[in-house]
Amino acid sequence: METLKASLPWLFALVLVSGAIITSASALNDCTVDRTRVAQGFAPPDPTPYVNSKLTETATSINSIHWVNGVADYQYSNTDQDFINHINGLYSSNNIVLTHTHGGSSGGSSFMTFLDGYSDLYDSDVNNWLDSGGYFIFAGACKSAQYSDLGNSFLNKGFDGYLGFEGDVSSVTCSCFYSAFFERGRYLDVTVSNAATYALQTTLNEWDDYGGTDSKEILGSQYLCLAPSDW
Amino acid sequence: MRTGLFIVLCAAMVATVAFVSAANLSNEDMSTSSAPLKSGLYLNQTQEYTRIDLDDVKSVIKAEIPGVNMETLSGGLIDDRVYGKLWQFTFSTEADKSILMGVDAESGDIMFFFGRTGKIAPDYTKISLEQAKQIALDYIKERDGDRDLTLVTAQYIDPHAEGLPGEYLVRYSRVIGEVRCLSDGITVTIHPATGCVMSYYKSWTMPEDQVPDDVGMKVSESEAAVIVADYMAENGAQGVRILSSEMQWVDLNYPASLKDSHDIRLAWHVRFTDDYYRSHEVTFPAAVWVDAETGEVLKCLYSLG
Repeated sequence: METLKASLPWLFALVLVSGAIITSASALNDCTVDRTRVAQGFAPPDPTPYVNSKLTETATSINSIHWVNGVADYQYSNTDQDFINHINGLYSSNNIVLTHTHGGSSGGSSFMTFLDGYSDLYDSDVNNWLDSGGYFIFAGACKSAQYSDLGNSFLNKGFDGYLGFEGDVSSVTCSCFYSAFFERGRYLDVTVSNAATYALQTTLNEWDDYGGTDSKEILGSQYLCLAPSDW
Repeated sequence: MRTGLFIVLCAAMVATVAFVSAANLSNEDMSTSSAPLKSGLYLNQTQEYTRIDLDDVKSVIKAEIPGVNMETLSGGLIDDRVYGKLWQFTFSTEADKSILMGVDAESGDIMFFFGRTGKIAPDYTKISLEQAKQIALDYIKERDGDRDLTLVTAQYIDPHAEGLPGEYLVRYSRVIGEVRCLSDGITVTIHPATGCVMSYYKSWTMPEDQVPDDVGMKVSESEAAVIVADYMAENGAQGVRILSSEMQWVDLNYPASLKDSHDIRLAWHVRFTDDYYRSHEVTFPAAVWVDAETGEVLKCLYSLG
């Protein structure tokens, strides 16, 4: 009894330290969701609640993948370099990245643009700024895969897969697509190709049109799994 | 005294580690994988009663997909937000590296499979679109019996990636009371050379008892078009040009499973374009759904990017 009484303060301290360890462990985000498209604003009528809900569903799906420690949820990236810094700041070198933002193409190159509206992210920027590593990136932006240079720059840095769009996409079908994609892709050994096919059907069922999502392009292996059982 | 304290601390640490492990790594999950999974991703097969058990679902897979390598089976029982309790597995065959299949845990019906590519054959053996439609229809009749369906789309789709075949996509929508359902239907893809069914996807989420049978259609097609034009003009759109209108059953709660509550409306689906879309040379239309009883705008497909 004496021993127990003497050890109570120690036990209390141990619980506090354990709590701190658990908290810090969950802050070790190795994946990220970037909501820049919402911060950029939409042509009315405003689909912000819908897009935000799909982004939240997506973050939850990614977080349920067995090897994922946590998902950093960014309201926006102000510049292209901010976006890359957000990836560089992730814990570990295995990362799933989703960004929903504006994109386009110019002079035979694809790019994505962020909140400031002019610091476009090209392949050369990825080459210059991005640290080695990665796993899978979903580039939810118009024409993010019209040319393969932007996607290949991520693959060259260590990402195993890149999903972008060859043409324009609607904001709501894009968000419907990535929510369904990660909803299915979070399960064991589901390939990105099969997850994308499922997501196309879900998009069609909700909006009666692909809204440009059928121009999806997967660079890297079609057989890549977000949640491989042999991880 | 010190030994006692040490023992108590060690016991507390072991208990803490056990607690953390239990919180992060599920003890409930039970799949065919040895990978440590998170809680809730898969249901515990030993605790969840389903009419279709693991052996049943293996039989379903073997019967549907010839040459399945059962050693590659990966997945388990999930609680899907659209399908409810669903057996979901991936596996390979002699011809295909990865097929994804979902089987209803109560009925044993296949709800979807994807990833069956079949052999790549030269184009000169390509079957016609009409033949593909017939193959799809026969397959659906064999699998689903005589359902009330209407053909929505039948088209050839180019290969998604190098090394893959193209496909014919045949999409049927469910019909209730002569009105097409937006979210429910069956889509089948057909190999353009071999006629093999490459994928099957069924969505059947609207409970018929929740489909209103006393809807008074107070908004005509032309009135719906005016509502859309006015609505978009109020939101700053210019040069709205109506492309088409169609009556549909729309579930505002989609995706929701059969057991969930649904908000099903009879609506005009109005497709249109405007100056903004035309200036961006957008290849798909914008759309608004208008409640056919109240004239309320229910949902809108417009913003880009």
